[in-house]
Amino acid sequence: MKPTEIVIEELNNSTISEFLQQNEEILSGQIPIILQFESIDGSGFQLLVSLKKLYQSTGSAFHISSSKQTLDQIRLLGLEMSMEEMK
Amino acid sequence: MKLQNDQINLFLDEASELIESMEKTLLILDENPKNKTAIHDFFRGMHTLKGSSSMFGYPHLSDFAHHFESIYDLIRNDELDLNKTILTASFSSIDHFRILLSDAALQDIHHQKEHEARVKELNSILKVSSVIEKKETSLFDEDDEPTESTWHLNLILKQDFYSKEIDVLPVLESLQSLGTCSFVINDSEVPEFNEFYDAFDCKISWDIILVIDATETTIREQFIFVDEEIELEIIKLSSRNVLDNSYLVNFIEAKKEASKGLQPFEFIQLHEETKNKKAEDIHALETEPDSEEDDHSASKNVETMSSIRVHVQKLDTLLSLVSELVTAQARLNVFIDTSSNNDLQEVAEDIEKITRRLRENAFSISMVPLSTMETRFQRLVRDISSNQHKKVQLISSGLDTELEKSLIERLTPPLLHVFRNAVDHGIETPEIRKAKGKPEVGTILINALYSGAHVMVEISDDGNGIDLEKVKQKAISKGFFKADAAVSENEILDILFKPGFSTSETITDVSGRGVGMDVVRTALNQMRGDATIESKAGEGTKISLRLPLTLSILDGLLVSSANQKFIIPLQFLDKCYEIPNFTRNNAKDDILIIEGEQIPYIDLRDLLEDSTNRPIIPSLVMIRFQQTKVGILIDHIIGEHQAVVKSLGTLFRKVQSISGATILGDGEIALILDVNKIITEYVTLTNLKKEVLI
Amino acid sequence: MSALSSSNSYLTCKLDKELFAIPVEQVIEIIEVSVITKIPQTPVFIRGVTNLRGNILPVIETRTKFAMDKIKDTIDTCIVVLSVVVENDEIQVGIVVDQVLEVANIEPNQIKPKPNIGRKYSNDYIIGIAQVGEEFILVLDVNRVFSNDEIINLAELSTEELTVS
Repeated sequence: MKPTEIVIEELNNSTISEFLQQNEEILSGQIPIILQFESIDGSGFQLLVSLKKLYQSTGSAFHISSSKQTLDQIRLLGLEMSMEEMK
Repeated sequence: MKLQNDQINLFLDEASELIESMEKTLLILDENPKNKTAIHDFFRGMHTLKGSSSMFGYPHLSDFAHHFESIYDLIRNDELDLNKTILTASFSSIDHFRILLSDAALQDIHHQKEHEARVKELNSILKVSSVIEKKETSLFDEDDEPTESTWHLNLILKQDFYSKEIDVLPVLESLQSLGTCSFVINDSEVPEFNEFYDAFDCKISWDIILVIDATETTIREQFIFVDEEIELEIIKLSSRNVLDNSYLVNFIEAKKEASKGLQPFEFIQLHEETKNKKAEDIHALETEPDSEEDDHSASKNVETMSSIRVHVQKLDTLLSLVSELVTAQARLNVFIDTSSNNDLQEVAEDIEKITRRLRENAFSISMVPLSTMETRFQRLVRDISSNQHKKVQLISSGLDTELEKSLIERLTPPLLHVFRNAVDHGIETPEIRKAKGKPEVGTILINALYSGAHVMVEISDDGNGIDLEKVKQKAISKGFFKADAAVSENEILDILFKPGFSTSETITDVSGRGVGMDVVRTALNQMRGDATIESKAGEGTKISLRLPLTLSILDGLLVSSANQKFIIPLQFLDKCYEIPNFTRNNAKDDILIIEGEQIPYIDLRDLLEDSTNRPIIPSLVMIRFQQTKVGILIDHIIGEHQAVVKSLGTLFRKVQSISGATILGDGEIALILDVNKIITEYVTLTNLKKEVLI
Repeated sequence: MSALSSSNSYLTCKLDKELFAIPVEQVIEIIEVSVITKIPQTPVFIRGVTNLRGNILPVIETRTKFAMDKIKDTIDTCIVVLSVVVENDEIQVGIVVDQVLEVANIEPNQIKPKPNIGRKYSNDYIIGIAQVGEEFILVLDVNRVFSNDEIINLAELSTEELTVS
């Protein structure tokens, strides 16, 4: 199944509710997704953590595509997941 | 699904046993904290408990056991001394294990708080101890010259963190600029997506392993701007960089994957295990605790009996069926007696013999030795004597004496009460004992033995005994005796069991004993037993508890009145008489003259509200209860009968005079008289009458 | 939890002029009236206990319990052994009935609600009144009837009253 791509400029607290409203299917964790964003802040990080948990439990694929800096940040902060640097 | 329940029940049983044996080991360590074998035993027990509780879904229990294991690991490696503080914490933790077994998810708020307190206690023990290196100094030198050291940080973002529009990521990044950081995230609290309604509700925490060239103060300074919105706990793991240990590095990576945080204890333990080892040795180390020193087990039983675990319900069913068999066999006998077929009689006799043996055997299965309670006794004596700063040793003998399990359970509260009294009021403080020329350590002796169809449990102490004169004076002032009455020593001691007496507030300065002794006697009476007391002022006191071996079988006298059959328990029986010239004289009090004595009596026919003609020569059964003698007037005495007691059931629980029933050989039901209640009611009635007359 | 029969089957019995129904799931067996031992100091509607294969079975004088006159037992009189829940315990109880009739099928929609006569307790004992053919049958909630200590005036709830109104 081709993964669904979701693009968000910045993953932060204000984009979250939008995200949740628009992506019900995603929120079931059954469909593989690629989450694309430029940068991320604290509450966005929690969203990411929660999504990772969800996808882990359903076994579906969950990728992140972001800027190198953000990916480093995510990795360094102990969140292990499949990541891809945005071109 | 039922199978799963059985497995969990099995785990619960085994875990309880394990905890009990660990408690026993702790008692040994209490006496001798240097006992290596006991320390290893305890460690091993903890290890097993940790593993199995994790398997069966008791994560808090497993976690807690894990912390403990670390502490005792340090102790067994001589890196930590087993002192009084740790011992006391260990005892409290044993109690906590029991709580964790019953409330696995810590749903009860009190349990949660208790858990937090216990974990805090364990943490503080570890902080004070030398954590990794022997020459380690703890947090006390945090403001000294910094060297590159390894730290554990537990960072919890408070719930409203995000709503304050703070971003934690930059803070954590700046931490990285100080030194090498490994972040292990803990997402256990982060909710599932369908519950993820409040993005601002912060639920992430981190465990961070930090290697830096700084003091704790410096580390804390990094978080100064978010100080109010976080909870930060810092533990120094080592004064040097331990990340040269590849096992630890791998461990951290694994923990990151799991994203459930990293406990400092696991880290420490792993370091301990691996710091000097190579890869191949790791497995050996892990299996080591299970195989070591089996032969020198400190708490090993001398006799190893092979046994199997049986569910109580199965036992109850077995006993029930055996009872039915006994009844059916008795009915068979009734028919056989009237038959003239010899062959049939022979077979019937065989069946009778086998049935009797089967019954004895079945009942003996539900018999359990008193020694199963020994740990509880020891623990209680230790706790109370410790609280009161007294030194007491508990010696036991005859605890292999067996009692019906349900009886042991019912015996335990009054028994513990007697122990409590003995330590509390009986045994003096070490100073007083020394002054009296007694050994500083007081002794309580518990002795159990068979006595006819009963079991005697005697608890004696070498304390200050009971001052008979003082008791007598108090009794007189309370109206129990007249001032000039001649009372025997036994009668004075017996007063201590009277409710009115022992609930007196001034009891402690009278005899040092007696608070609640009436409760003990009542409990024993309800088990068809009794409690008595002996004492010698200055030397000690002995409380004797008598119990029947089993409550299911009663030895009684079978009688009949108004064509109904009754059983009067033999334990209360004094004598039986025929009353040839009986006439009911309503004008007098119900008193008969028997052998020159005026004996009050109760007419069973009154109880039955039967006014049919009684036989010309009725009989009187004299019963004795405590110090009271009362007669029960009946029609005929049939004979002695061993009755299998059956409860009447919930519908009849308000019936006072009957305590149960039994089924006779011919199928008829005989009611068992509750002698205790009948006499009490009678005494109350006569007292009332006296009051009315006055 | 519904006190109705899960299989819509009820044992119908007769007491005086009344017919009543008990869910079969709660009926264990029906036995003859044999020797009943009286127990002193018990309420009047307890006839006593009897030996049921080595177990003590309480026997309830149902007529008295329902405030009817007690009569002598006849050939048809028997004891229905019921399984009743009293204070979370399941116990067996025997009730004396004049006659046992048959097992009848009663659908839930055949059971009309009991008449509200203003007495707050009595109504609880009866689930409702069913009409089977020409007859009206009182459907009993046995757990409530036989686990309390009161005498119930069944006459107040009798079908005669129903037909009158």
